[in-house]
Amino acid sequence: MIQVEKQTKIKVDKISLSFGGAMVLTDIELDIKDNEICAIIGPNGSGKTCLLNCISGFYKPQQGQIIYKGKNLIGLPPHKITTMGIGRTFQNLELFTGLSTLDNLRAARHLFIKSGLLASSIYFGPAHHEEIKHMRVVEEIIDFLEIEPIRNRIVGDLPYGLRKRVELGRALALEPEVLLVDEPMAGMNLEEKEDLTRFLLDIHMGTEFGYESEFLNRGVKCIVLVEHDMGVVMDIAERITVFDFGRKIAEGTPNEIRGDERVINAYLGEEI
Amino acid sequence: MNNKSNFTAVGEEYPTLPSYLARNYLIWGDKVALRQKDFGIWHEYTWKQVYEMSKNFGLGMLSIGLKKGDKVCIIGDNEVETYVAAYGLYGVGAVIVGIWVDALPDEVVYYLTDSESRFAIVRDQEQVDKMLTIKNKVPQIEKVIWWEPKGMAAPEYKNNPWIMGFNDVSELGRKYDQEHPGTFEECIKQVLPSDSANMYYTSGTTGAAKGVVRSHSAQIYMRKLLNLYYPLNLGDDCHSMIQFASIGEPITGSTANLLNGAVINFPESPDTTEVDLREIAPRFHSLTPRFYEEIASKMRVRIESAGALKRWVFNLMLPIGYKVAQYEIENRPLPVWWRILKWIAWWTAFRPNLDKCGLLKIKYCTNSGFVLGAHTFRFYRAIGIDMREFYASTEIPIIATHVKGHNIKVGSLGEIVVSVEVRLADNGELYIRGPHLFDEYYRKPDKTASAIDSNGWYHSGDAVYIDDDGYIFYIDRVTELASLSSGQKYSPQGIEAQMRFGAYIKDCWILGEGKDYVTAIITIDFDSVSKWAERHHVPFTTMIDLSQKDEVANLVLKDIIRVNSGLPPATRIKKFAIFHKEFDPDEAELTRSRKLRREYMYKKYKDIADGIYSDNDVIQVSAEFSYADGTKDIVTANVKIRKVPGEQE
Amino acid sequence: MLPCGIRNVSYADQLAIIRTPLQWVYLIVALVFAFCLPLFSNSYLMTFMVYVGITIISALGLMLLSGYCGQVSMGHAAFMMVGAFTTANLNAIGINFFLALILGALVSAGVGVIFGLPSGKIKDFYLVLSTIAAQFIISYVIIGWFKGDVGVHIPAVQIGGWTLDHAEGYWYLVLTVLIIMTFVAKSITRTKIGRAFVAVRDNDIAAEAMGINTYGYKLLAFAIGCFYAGLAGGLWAGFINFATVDHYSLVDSIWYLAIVIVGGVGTITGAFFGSIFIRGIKEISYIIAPWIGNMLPAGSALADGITLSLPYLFFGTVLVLFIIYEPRGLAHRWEILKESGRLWPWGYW
Repeated sequence: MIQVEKQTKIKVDKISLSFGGAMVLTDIELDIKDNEICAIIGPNGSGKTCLLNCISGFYKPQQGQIIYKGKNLIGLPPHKITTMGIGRTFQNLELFTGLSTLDNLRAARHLFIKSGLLASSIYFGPAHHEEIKHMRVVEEIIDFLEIEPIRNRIVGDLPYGLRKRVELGRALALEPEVLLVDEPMAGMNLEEKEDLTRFLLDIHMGTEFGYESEFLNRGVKCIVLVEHDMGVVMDIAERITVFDFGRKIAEGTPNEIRGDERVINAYLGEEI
Repeated sequence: MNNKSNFTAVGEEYPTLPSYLARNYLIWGDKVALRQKDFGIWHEYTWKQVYEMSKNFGLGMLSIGLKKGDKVCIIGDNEVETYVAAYGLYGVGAVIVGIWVDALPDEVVYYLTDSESRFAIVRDQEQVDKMLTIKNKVPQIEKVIWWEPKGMAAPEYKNNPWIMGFNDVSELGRKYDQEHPGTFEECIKQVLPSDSANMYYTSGTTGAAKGVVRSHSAQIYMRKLLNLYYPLNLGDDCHSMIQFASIGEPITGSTANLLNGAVINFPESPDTTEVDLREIAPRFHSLTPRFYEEIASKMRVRIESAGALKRWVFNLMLPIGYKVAQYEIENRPLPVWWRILKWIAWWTAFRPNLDKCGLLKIKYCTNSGFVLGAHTFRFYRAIGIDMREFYASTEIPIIATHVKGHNIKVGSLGEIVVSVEVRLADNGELYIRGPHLFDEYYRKPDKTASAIDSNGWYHSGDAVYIDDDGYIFYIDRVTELASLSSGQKYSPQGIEAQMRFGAYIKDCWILGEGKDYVTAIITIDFDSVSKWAERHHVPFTTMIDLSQKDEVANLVLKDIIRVNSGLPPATRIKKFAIFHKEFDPDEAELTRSRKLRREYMYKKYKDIADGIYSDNDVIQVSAEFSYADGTKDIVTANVKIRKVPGEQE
Repeated sequence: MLPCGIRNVSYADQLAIIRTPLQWVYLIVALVFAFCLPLFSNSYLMTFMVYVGITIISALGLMLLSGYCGQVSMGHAAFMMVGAFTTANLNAIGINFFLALILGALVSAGVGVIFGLPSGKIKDFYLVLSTIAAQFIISYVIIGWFKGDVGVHIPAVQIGGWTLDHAEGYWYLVLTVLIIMTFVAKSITRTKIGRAFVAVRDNDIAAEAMGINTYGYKLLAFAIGCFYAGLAGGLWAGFINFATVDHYSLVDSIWYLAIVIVGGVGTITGAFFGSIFIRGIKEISYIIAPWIGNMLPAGSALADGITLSLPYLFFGTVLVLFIIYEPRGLAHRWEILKESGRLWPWGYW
């Protein structure tokens, strides 16, 4: 099989981040490629979530650049980065807990609704049309993630596993070109992990037909997965990067990482 | 052979089911035929649209090699595509074989092979995977067609020539129609009323399942009979939940849709069915006692947990409901005073209650399968539902029912319906004749011959009692009637049904054939019993532990005493044991419709079935148990045998 | 929970507020009642109703700013003052009252944005302090430069041939504006702007991650909220024919915040509930206070003290009780009551 050279989607170019005197990330270099699920693993506190926060714009590295679509993301406000096509989920779930599932997903359609103040004040007419159009998109996401029974329930009342799915759906509603997923398997039992893994794969592959929304049919081609669960990572990641104490210590395919001595010493210890 | 003399002949202009499809296109073109909830809203399909889709699918099937008379199986929950496929297949003269969605792979192999099906139409990836695992065992299946696209984009499905998408088939059909217009209409004309329409596999309580073949005319006669007792009008909403594998489907679904124009509504998913049911507000329910009891207990629980005012009002109105229901049951006119009270009760309590369940617009509910407990039956009538018993079988799907405007004898199955003749054999078995009788058991001429005798009488295998007013009372299956060693007859199924009304009892297995007395092996409802145990501070660890507790035994004993009081002394339950686990259809202990498979159970649990008659207090029961992933294990438990006080001689 | 049998055949159905014929009947009856109110009530009651109507308009603004967007403002009365004085001053130099009203609201919106600028960097308690600062700064500016010390007179408002110099007539003006502004407020909450506000309030980190420019929307919330305030201020000045600083003090700002809290944070009906309730309590306490004062030794310091302070005592107690027992306000309690009625006779679904 011919290995097609994959394009670099996000280039993390020697970034370093420190808080006060503590160096959280040191000289991180990473090529996040398109058409690939790339995983970042490492012990707790090794800087994985910090990297995602740097890419999303919540933290500002003191050194280095993050190049995406020809622009340096560092210094841009988070909402601007989202409009450029990067969506993410949060480790601790940052949902709007007072709103229903439906409203959480509709909130994410913000970027795509063009109605201004005047149209919104009148409601009937263009604003109403847009609400209807985006309702359909949101319903397709609900169908895709099989969360129909909870569509009207307040998110704060939902069990943890379903909240994770709503968070994933909300990130999906942004129609991202790059999806950053932060420890999705945390706190899940075996069955929930299988379900979530299947959904991640479906999101990556796309459904090809069956939905009106093109982005669901197309799939999200570039996924960055920060995860602890080795089973999941070895199963679905095509490339793995290993962090330790804020540095990148290894990078390669799952097989390469499995046998890498530095990784085993730092992190894995026992046989996978 | 088929008796039509008491009854108007099947409409000559519309002799077959697909002919109704064609008629509806002309007379009801823009009216809603089917309604599906998808993506949060209800999508409506008119008769014109349904006709076009069915035509395309039917012609598509012809394009891929279907011939008139071929058997095609449908495996999937009811959705628009299920019906479009069914109507398309009727149109091109195929026979539809329904298979349960949760059928195990081996069962599917049996059904496909026995029916000689050539095509399989399945809903989704799960079913396709099931078909792939059995592919080698069903070589006569030429294509498997799926319609739910989720997961089907994977290359292993796309590149497999055995598997095809519904839309692709329809696309072929559309092209065919463009090149050869009028073919579908021709095909419809070629279908004869005597041609087979459906095949239903009866639940195999004894031996292998048999494929009941029903012709178009039998199905149409059935609908016309039903229309005499349960008329449905154009636009009446129905809820479709019975799969094509059961005779319940044409009773509530396709024939009502085709002949009467009733709209079939499909909920969004199994999990949202309750919510969707409220939006559908069906006109007609035809369900089994299990469903009715669940709904009734749901109602009771919800009302019990309401505030004091709500409870007080409802409990105040309930006796009014029962009294009014009594007048209706006895078919006596209602005095003015009660009419006012009925109106008050309806608006303050019963109407809002039915509104919550989704039963507000119900015209009639029928119960079939087992006789509904008298208490539940009266309850439904009291709260404003026209509940009636319905006696039918797959072979002859309407024999007797309660007739509106006639006396309702609670506990009976009603009166024999028009155009059906009955006869009682010497052994109490009911013989039946009617225009909607089935044709044969597929490829089982010997079984068919023993079922339908030379005069056209169908041997139902049911032991019944018909009283002087012509009301039928069900006793038991003739083969199920057991006799003690003294020759005394009893109905195990009857006693089991009585036991099941106990709030804490899930199921019951009555033994006694050839023995001196009757015993019972009972399974408890773990949910309600564990809550009871919590409230009464009875500690327990597992279900096995809970089931052997003396306190739980005393709880069950109350129901045994209740049931015993309605039985002749010789056939009362003298000993019982509480089983350590529930009876499971996946373990082949129950059929899919949850009837006990006695022969199999006796073989599997011989140690306790015999041991309960010994002097032992405890019997060790071991059985093999398979987990969902296929691994097997032996589960052992020590089951206590208990005597029923007052019944020991 | 909808009645059995009501289905959504389109997303328009799903989004609609009024779904059953009965709800249409309620709406029409309410509107007819409101328009016919002057026919069967007296001048005192109508004055009260005008007062309540204008309060609701202002409360809607604060509801959008603080209730929906979470930017707690204790300077709301000051922005009403801006509207009142702008309208009065413009009207005094010859501009038509209605045009002056709109301009007053726009100016108030602009001033609101200026005082909302800190919201980009400060949140919660500190933002509240800056709005209190707004309250005082605006007062001083208006007293110093816009005739706030003496007040500005507005002649009676004229529409066509009618002069709205009495409560019954003015009621129709207030009612019309109220209906329009309620519609606008409800519309905003149903669209992307309303959702953005709630997102900013509930979780501004997640809101940023959703592509919502949180700073921009906070400023927009100030603009819209203060527009409503300015409109209400101008209408009030038109009613009493005078713009004065006395009616727009810090205490009044706190009254408005109380209306939002008591009414129900984050609901449109909350503005209605809160306004009617708080104004009602105020009126009742003004009636009761002298009566209680009379029971005490006449002329004593206690008697006078009670008469003056009872409204505040009453009001403070009610507010504290609400925060403890009904933190989500009357609107929430009303929703629970409605839902319980819809579930009749069940306890839950």
